[in-house]
Amino acid sequence: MKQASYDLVVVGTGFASTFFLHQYLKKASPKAKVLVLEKGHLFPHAERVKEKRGEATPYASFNPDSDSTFDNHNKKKGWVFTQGFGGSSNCWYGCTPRFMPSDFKMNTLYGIGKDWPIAYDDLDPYYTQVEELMSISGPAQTPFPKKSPYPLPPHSFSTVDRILHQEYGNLYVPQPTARASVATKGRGACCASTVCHVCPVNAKFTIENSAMGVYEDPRVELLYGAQVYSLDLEQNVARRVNYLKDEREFHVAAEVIALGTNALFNANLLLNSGDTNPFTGQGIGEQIGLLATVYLENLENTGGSTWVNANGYMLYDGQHRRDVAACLMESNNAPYFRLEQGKWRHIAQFRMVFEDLPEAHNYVSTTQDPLRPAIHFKGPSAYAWRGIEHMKAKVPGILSCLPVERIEYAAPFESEAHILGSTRMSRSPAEGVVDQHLRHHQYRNLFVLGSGSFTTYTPANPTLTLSALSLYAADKTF
Amino acid sequence: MNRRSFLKVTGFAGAVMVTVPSLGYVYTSNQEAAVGVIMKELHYLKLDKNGVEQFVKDYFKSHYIKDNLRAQINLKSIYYLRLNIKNSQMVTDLVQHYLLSTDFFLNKMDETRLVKYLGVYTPYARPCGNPFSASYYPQPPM
Repeated sequence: MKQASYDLVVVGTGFASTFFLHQYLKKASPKAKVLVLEKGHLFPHAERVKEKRGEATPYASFNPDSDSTFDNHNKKKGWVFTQGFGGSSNCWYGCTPRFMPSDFKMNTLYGIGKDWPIAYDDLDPYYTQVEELMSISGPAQTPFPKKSPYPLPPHSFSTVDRILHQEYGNLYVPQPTARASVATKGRGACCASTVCHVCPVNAKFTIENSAMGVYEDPRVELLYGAQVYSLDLEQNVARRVNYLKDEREFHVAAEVIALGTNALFNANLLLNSGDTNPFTGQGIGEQIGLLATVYLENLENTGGSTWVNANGYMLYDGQHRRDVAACLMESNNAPYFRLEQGKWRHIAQFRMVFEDLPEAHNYVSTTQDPLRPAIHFKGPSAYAWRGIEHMKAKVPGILSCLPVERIEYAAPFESEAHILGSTRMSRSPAEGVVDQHLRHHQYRNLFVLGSGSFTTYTPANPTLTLSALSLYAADKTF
Repeated sequence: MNRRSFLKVTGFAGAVMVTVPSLGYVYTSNQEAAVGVIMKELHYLKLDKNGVEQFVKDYFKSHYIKDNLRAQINLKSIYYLRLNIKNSQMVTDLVQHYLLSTDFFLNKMDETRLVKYLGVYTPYARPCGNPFSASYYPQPPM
């Protein structure tokens, strides 16, 4: 740390921090001083690939496994994320659909949950900006409004995708994705290796390969191994950031502070700091997903050029959301097959992803170790469970354009790897923690970034939206 | 044959039927069992047995089965008692992984051709090897 105080201190280097910084730096003075505190270390992509090949790499031991960093009070529920520089950009699968306009006004339209204090149209230009920065591959026509084309062409359909697209048009489209369809900006072209958590050809967008230049900016000082545990909150102002590095305590003052860790650790930091907003830490959750395997009668399902080839919106939006959760279909293109003579690839698989709502009985609490939060999770909402039953009733009809032999459903996955909603966004402090610009309702120089801010938990993947929210917050504030 | 003789004969036969397979169970190696399961499950394909053996050798190098007694018993039981492999996800994975590690899918699932082992399937050693993808099944534009 070169200074005792900074114009901006950012905690974390994942999507939320990086996109926030990107926009901030565009508007900040050339003399601005920015400190970024990263708990972990850089684990370069090439070294990650080496590790996957079974080769030794010293980088593998620099960052802890995520499971070892918190107390999980429900062992049946997993929480998946990655520590270290770039955060979960290192383990994400690169799915980047936009939210639907209705996702932001669930209460007005369906009497469910709360409306977000921001509308789709507010975010639209920032969605476009993120899509450009990430070089998203996507279709010409989408189920959500979109004014400009995606930067890269869409991935190709499989046989089954093609039939479903012919049946449902814009409700069944190639998935918008950060897995590049053609080589771009230092990234290879995705070729459906389907191990996207560490892409063998570096095709997906990561903070490391982003070419955004944020951490090379001379105004930015990046400190690795800095474990932030609390903030000094005084008279409605966030004054200092407190962290450990090399077993020593440090304190740094800032005009503005932005928390960009994940929804679990952002809440823990606020709780450690004495934030008394009743919603801080409350409602943590994620979507719920399960695998549907469709056995086909004499139809060979081949083709497709990426992991999730397509998204189906047939069960997403509509009046059913008054009673049951929306479902987003993901067409999966892993090299699965049937062990049956002559029927090898007469099969299709879909991940069915359901929205959820924040529930008071799911929450984050502190522990005696200020660096180690606890998650208490009793389960998804009844609304989400009803969505699953609704899907099972509707899917045979939806897939009737295919020669379906039978459909099998697996038990829900233990995690969707999307941690949401512990610092939810609201119009007033009576309903949430941050405002539409992700500023804390009480501590106005404190930003709490990321998917913790989500008011409700749409089935669409959160990364594009949380990144757009960071751009929006920085653009509207500075 | 009176009832007593009948019981003696059937009792002896029963003991032989239990003991002999048990001896086999003990002396069959995990690798032999794995090869046997693959050969039996895919009996309708032309498999290169040397390739199957090499696959099993390679596969077991980094598989938890080499240190997991329960998994070993599971594998041998399926092999020796001729159980349906669907009773075990681990054994189903073994057979599926073998096929992915061969040229079978690259040859467009031609069941008449000799199936040759290429090396354990892993996208990190062989990226872009998903044999069902557009790289191998180019799709016409929409």
